Amino acid sequence: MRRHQTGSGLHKTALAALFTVGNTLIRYPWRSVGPDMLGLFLLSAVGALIPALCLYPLFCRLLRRRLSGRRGRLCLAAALALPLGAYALFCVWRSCGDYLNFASGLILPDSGRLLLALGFLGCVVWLSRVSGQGLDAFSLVCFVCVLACVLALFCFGIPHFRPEYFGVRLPGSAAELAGSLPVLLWESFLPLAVLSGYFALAAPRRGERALAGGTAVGCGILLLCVLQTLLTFGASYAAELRYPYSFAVRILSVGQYFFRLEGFSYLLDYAACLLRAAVCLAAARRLLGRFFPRLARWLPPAAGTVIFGIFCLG
Amino acid sequence: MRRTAVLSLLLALPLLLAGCRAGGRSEPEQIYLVSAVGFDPDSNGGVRLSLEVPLTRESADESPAPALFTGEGGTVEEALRQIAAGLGRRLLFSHCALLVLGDGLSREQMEAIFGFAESGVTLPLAAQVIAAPDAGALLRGGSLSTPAAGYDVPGIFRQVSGSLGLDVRCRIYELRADASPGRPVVLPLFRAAGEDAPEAAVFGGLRLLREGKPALELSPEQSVWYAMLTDRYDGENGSPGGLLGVRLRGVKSEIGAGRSGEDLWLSLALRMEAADRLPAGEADALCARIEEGVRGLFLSLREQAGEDVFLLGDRLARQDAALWQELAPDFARLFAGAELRVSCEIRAKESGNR
Repeated sequence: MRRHQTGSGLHKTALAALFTVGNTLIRYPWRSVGPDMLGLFLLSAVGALIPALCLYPLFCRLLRRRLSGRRGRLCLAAALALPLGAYALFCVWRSCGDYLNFASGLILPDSGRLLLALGFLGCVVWLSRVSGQGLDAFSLVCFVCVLACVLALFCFGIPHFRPEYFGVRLPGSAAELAGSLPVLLWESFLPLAVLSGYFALAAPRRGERALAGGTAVGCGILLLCVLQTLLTFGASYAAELRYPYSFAVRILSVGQYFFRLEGFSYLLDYAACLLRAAVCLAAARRLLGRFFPRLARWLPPAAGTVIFGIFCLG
Repeated sequence: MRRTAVLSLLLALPLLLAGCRAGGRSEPEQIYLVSAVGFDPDSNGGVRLSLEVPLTRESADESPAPALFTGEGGTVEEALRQIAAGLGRRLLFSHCALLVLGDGLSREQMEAIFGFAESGVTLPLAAQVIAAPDAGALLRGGSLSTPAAGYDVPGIFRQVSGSLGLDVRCRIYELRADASPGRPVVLPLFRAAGEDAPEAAVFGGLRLLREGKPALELSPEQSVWYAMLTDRYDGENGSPGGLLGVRLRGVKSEIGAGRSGEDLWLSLALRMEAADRLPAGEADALCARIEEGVRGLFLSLREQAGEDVFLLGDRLARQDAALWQELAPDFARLFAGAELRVSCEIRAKESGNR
């Protein structure tokens, strides 16, 4: 039993880390802030720990207990769970949409758009329905591969780094920070609230350590990617590119025979987006299932079909 | 659990392997791999686009003969459409290694060219950019050492810049990352080689492109001086032995200005190393030649350009941001009166004596 719990903590850490990366790298939300990018990223990394430390205990109290006959508690739980479930569905849409646009724009520019959407959404729906242990195993395998790829790509990128592009600058005034706060809130804090909800429903009782640790590790992975992008391109040029990290990796070569290493970075994008979408869908299913158990069973395929339809029409 | 992990990885594989099909359902024989792209201005104010494509050989006895496709249009895209319309195969740019910018391209055209390169999957950002008097003529020259000039020229430049110690940042992403208003674009200049030459092109020094002004051209020797003046000299690998017969072991470069803002100065201390002990007179003559060369280039380029083509302002800003803030408004005047202090020292390799 003890052994199982230790293993589960590691698995959950991996899950939280990949969720934290999610579609953040594809969206590259700091592109609007120019030279402040690295400072804001570090600020958002600190902010990313807030859900793990504050929201998780709250969700545990409200969502994990059985719904009793007390109307006040029921209303409070419903008021929390239903908006969070709806937001989780929105995160599924954003994560899937970002990955599918990225993949159809960069990986398969000329073909396979519908096939790609079908395959990816199929994986999301399937993963959201497997048991917690299945999702954990998938997370750990992906995490090990992703970490190896990110570290290797960072090391290969070192000869291309320009130290003059490095600089940590925080917003100079309250007005500047106020302009960046919505970005931080939207991109890092809110999606991680869904992860806290998922952990409150699915994780063992002491999930906060795995949640906080995983979030910190995820921020570490993001930091490596952001640093690689910044030190290769500089903040202002990186902000002009559509997918800066993929482009920063694309220029790498090892020796005379290994070129175009960006394929390894696709693993990061794929695994992180897939896991974020699957966890969000699983969280929405579980949150909705507290109140409408029969309806919740059909939520993953229905959500997958709707997203597929929108993507096909778009 | 194991089954889940295996299944998950299997699900991931088709999506990852899909990257192998970036050619878009095209077999290799249905694709033209573009190795180099050349841009020249055409007579109507548009762009003449030249694409070099190495052709596959039917047998091992045949010599590789790259083809050159050209098209003209008001924009790069129009010229590309004109070329594509006459071809039976798709053009794939992901293996392109070289961009050649011909003389006379306007700033807007250059922006459009870089926009074309960055617009997604068209050109690799790591492709090298060079200047040529006529891009089409350079690519038409062909190559004997590799199947295409597009793959040959970057190799020649790597060799030349290594031996001269030039640290020229001329890949697409490097140029774009360093671009800022008023800053010259520094490109290696190549000319088409004669029919007897084994290479596709001959290195002709550096070319400085400035916004809306005539380009400045530097010979290979002047390029070395320019690299020293702009702190772009790669002292570790540089060996200007071909030019001077000595090896440069180090450059100590400093820039400064008085607080009164009246005196801007740049100091260069060059430490050279000769393979054998040089007679005193010869060493002094060589030092004088180097000092004269660096100083002469500084003065002549300053006069021709009339602006900070040595990026002294950038260096000053990096070194002392507060001082730069103070001097920036009047920097043009300061630059016009800037003083250059050059000193040179040559030591013999074994003895260490001058």
